[in-house]
Amino acid sequence: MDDTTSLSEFEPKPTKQVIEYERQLFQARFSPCGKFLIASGYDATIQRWAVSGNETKRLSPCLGHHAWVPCLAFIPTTERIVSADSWGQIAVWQYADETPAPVWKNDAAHDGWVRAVAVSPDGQRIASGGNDRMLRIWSAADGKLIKEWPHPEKIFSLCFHPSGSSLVSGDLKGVIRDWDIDTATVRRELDARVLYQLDKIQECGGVRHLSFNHDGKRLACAGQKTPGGGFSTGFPCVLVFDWDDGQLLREMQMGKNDDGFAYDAIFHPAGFVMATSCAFPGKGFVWCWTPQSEKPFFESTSIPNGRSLSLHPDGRRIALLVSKSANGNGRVLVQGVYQGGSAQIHILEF
Amino acid sequence: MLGAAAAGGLGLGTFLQPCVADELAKNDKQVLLIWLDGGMSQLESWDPKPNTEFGGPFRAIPTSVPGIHVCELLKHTAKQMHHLAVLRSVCTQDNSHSAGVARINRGDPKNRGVEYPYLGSAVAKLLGPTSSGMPPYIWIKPNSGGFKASDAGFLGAKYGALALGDGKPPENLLLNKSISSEEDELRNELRRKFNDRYAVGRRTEWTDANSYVYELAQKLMKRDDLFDESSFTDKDRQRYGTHELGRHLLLARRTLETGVRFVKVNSYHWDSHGDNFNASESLISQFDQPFAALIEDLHQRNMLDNVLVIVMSEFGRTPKINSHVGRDHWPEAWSIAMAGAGIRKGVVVGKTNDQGTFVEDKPYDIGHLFHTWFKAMGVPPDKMEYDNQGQPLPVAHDDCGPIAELLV
Amino acid sequence: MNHRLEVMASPMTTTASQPVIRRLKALKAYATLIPIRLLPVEFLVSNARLIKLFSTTFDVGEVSVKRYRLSQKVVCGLMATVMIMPVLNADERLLPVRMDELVAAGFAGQQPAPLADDAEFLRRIWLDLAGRIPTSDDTRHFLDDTDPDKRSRMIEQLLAAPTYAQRMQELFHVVLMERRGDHEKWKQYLHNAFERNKPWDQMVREVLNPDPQDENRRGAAFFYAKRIEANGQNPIDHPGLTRDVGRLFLGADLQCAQCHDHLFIDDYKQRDFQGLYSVYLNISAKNGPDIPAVTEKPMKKKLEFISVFDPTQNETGPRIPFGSEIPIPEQGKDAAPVSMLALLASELPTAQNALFRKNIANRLWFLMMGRGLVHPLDLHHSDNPPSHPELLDLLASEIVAHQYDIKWMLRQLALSQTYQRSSRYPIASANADSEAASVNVEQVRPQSYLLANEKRMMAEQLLHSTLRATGNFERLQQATVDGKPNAELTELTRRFVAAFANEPREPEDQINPSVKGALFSLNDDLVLQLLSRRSGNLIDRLLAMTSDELLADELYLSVFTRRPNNEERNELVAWLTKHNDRREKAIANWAWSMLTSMEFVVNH
Repeated sequence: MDDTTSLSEFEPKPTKQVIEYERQLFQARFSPCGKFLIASGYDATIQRWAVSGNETKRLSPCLGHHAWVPCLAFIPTTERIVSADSWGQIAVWQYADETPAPVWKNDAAHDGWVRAVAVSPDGQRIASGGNDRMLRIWSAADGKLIKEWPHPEKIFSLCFHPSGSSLVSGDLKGVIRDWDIDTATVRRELDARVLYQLDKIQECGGVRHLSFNHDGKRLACAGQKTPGGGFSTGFPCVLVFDWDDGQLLREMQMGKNDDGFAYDAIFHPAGFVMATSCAFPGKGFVWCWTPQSEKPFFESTSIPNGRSLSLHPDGRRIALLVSKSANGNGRVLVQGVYQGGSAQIHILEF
Repeated sequence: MLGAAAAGGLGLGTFLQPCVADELAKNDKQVLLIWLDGGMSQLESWDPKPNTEFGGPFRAIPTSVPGIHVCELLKHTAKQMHHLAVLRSVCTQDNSHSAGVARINRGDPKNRGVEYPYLGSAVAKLLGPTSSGMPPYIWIKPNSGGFKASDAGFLGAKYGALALGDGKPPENLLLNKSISSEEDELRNELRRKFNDRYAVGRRTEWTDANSYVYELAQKLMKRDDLFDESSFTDKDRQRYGTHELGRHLLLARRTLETGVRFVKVNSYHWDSHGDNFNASESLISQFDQPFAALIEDLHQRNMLDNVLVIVMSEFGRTPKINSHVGRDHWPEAWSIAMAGAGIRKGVVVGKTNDQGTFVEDKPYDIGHLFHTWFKAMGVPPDKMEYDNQGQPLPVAHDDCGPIAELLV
Repeated sequence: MNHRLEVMASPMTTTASQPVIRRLKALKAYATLIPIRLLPVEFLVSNARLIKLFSTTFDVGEVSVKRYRLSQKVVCGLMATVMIMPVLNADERLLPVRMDELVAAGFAGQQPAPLADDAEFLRRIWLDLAGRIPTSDDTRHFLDDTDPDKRSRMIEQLLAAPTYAQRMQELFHVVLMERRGDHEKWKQYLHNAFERNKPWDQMVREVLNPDPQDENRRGAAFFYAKRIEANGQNPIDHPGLTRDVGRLFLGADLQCAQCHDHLFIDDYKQRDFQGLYSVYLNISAKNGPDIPAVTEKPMKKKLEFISVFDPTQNETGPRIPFGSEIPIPEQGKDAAPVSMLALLASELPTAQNALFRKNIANRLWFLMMGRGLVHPLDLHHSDNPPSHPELLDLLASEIVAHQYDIKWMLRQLALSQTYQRSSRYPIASANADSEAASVNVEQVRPQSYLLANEKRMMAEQLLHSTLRATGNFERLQQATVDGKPNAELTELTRRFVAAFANEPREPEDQINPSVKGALFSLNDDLVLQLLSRRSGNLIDRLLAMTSDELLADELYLSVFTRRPNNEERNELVAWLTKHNDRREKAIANWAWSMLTSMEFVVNH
């Protein structure tokens, strides 16, 4: 980590590029080659856009999932993605194909909501988990089940260590587990329990997202600090751990207690964490923070309701997915039609 | 507190024609109302729309009744569906908690300038206590207990709810050791004599209310077994769960067994404007498990034919999912479930459209449901009016009627 | 202010005129005696010097003279009473009389109950103005007093006694804080205010804009501070505070108007709520270890709000509900920021604010008469009109004219026949045609005032009265050696409040018998111990008495504030004879039954 990096060059600014999509999305990610932008949605689809220069062109979606598709990951060394939905189906697709069909799929990979998938750095294995509290490892190539073992709590997030030696899970209760895949045992636990709370009778929070930096020395966990029920108040929060000794390096609490969940936190190669949070319309924002500092060096509320961040391989551009869905108790019909929510992908630039 | 002193006055005079009153006195029907305060999402429970724009992440699962599906979050209740009736075409007027809770609890009658009683107080008035002599209206709720007179509206404090805070017995339940039971008899006889003298030349409202609470107190003193937790079996505790709603529904079963006419159980914090789907997972399981156990137990104890069970909130939740991944208030189309006395078994009545946004066939307001429930309990609404000092007041909304498809 | 010069219609002796003078003084009239030979009235009228004398004393504006016919036989040595009466408006009669007239106009031909007898009156006025029942000695003294004026004197005595301030402090604490909690400084503030008979509008100003610097006023901040203290994860309840200011000081519950114009009450608009809310959003609790306090952020811009039914963006600056917006003053760069609370405090509790004056008039009426002219007390609006609109207007304008003097108004109310009416109809006499007998008491509505309304006894009134009745008060008043209050008294207080008070935030505006209270009365050990013999208490005194008849008197006077009738006396004597072997228990149980009966637990 270069402490003398001048950080002002890393303040992202909006470009004029905004991609509209008519339904809500979970995340939008650039492919490793940078030529595609792939997003998974609340509408059982996976959307694709071709990216060339400043132009994006919408391509045909990947169809076949049901209900929500919260999980999406690229399979390294291939032009494939793996996706999973809330009915328990996992599928792998060739995202560059004209009309992608699943390379393989498993309708009953899990019983119900799959909340996380992760792909090993060598592209061979896919880990998945969710509500059925079973961690499953699949062959990325053909979808065969390699291994499975029970997980003590609902699994909310997964990621592999860049070295491939660990699979890390984050659960509802704020416990992060470092799994030895071969023996299916926990090497150690990291404490992210500030991201969980029993608020009156409701269990709230969870480790919503995990990501390592490029050399695996830092782990970022995103969620909400002191989460509550009802209006889901609590502070967006990203915890950064030192992976070697398992200690908490920085608790990045942001904003006010109505700024929602930190849904996504990614490491920039320069070493800082970029994160976004989302709550009710107009709440939540984007920030950049180096773990050594006590404060972020950049925060911007000008584009609220961010759900995911993806760094283009060119290191300059960022895709910020924003949720656009009003709240309110009334029945506002537009030309007689009841309105749902939608999404926007804002392209930002350093 | 408006209570009995609301504009419109007080109404404690008897009005039942004697023969009808006798009929009702023989009526051993009871009611259990489970109130999920804040608005349980109908889309995550009784009326799932899986794999649609507003359907959320969950699957629908089959139930013990072929053709009827519920959300996967009701996995235990699904097995009891053959006892239940679900109305999916509920459409009510108020989307606010502050006014909506009271309006639903009162059956949202026409505004006649009086404060109508909550359902429990209405039943306490119309059917009275059962022959067990137990208080007619007991409310099992979290936090504090006490006597909640305000439920009774214009009927008067006497028809309020005896609230058991966290299901615990009221303080001072046992006869003080320094008093023998003969002495207790004598001193209360004296007290009643003083009260009789006091009442001469005065309105009876407050004397009646006062006598009533003492009677209740003395009855409760004789029934402290109601609160004896050691008598619940481990199996009971396991089936119902040891969480708050589980314990309270188990206590509700026993309260019904002692012969209380109307038992209300409240659960709070269902108002999931944010993170609705995780909230629903966490909350609905707390309802699903004990509710299924309760229905099973009532059936096994041959109580289900006499006990009317109702599950409701003040409204449902919006089909639209807001940016906090939550659902807001939605009275336009939601569901109420019921079972037991007078209610058809294993049916779904009414339909929302494919999107789950609006009622597709005939919408029913809470007034219709009140008519339906009074009929199920054996109170013929067209014969029943309250008499509020000469002002006749229909028991349920006069523009509504019972829903025939729900009734046996 | 106008005054008028009046001469008593007929001369009377000095002695006989004294009570009249006293009564007039109580009504703030100036009265004096003049040797009658200095009159006739015509002389007075034209006597500029005399008029000028009165003018300098009383800032007399217009002087109007009522002519009375004086006997032409002027006798030396007799005095005439000359009065200067304050004239508030064209109607020259006394306020209590006018109140009674307006109430009587609503009787619709029905016969009201007669006036309460002395015992009924005594108990009621003590409970209302002293917060407890009188002792048996006080009661005997009053019942045996033959002075025709004794009721007025008793009213004066109670208004002047230290129990008045304590009673009003306890009462207004519950009215204003609704059992949310207490604080020593708040208690002191209220007590001090009532001790000095602080005008209501001044009190409201001090509560709306508390002054942390002034030691005598800082306790008033508790009204705000308690309502906006942090409560776990819940958002600070600024809307609740806004609502309560509306309810308690203007008689308008704007709760439902927070999110939209009120659905049922046309008068309550969203901007009325939001305007007041805009002020309260800027304050936060700043509780020191020992002193409640609030801080205020300067208001820089208007508050935006949206109705949940109408997405149009609205905005408002600070606003008194139903009034117009208060312009946010220009704030000079270096000037101290303008306090919205100060603005609120100067605008809301004013004579021009009809709701403000009607609210206090209504609430004081309620305190004494057991029902508001507008009822519920916080729902003044055009679809909930007062039962006696003219009367409410009269009271409102009178209290303004008397600078919001609470004691004065309570006095006027206490002097009225409406207040002093009995709460029961007499048992039907043999005369079947008597109108009183024909009234069906069940049909009598509280707002008719044909009967005095039964009123709730606050937990504190029950506690004080129970302690006095059972003769345990002196013992429990003893502080411990190190000056701390008696532990048993503290515990008893806690238990009485737990058993008989409402839940927090529920106004205690009607009788509310509860199972909790009944179980408490039946089984609580501290309560029952009050009836075991301890030196000097009631049971002890009664056990020392040899005559059962005298015992009966002492018992009834102590507990019911009256003597027993013959039937009751005989009953008790028979009871004591029957339970001769357990005399202490027998007395205690009889006393218990009295203490838990309606006659004791209700203010009737």
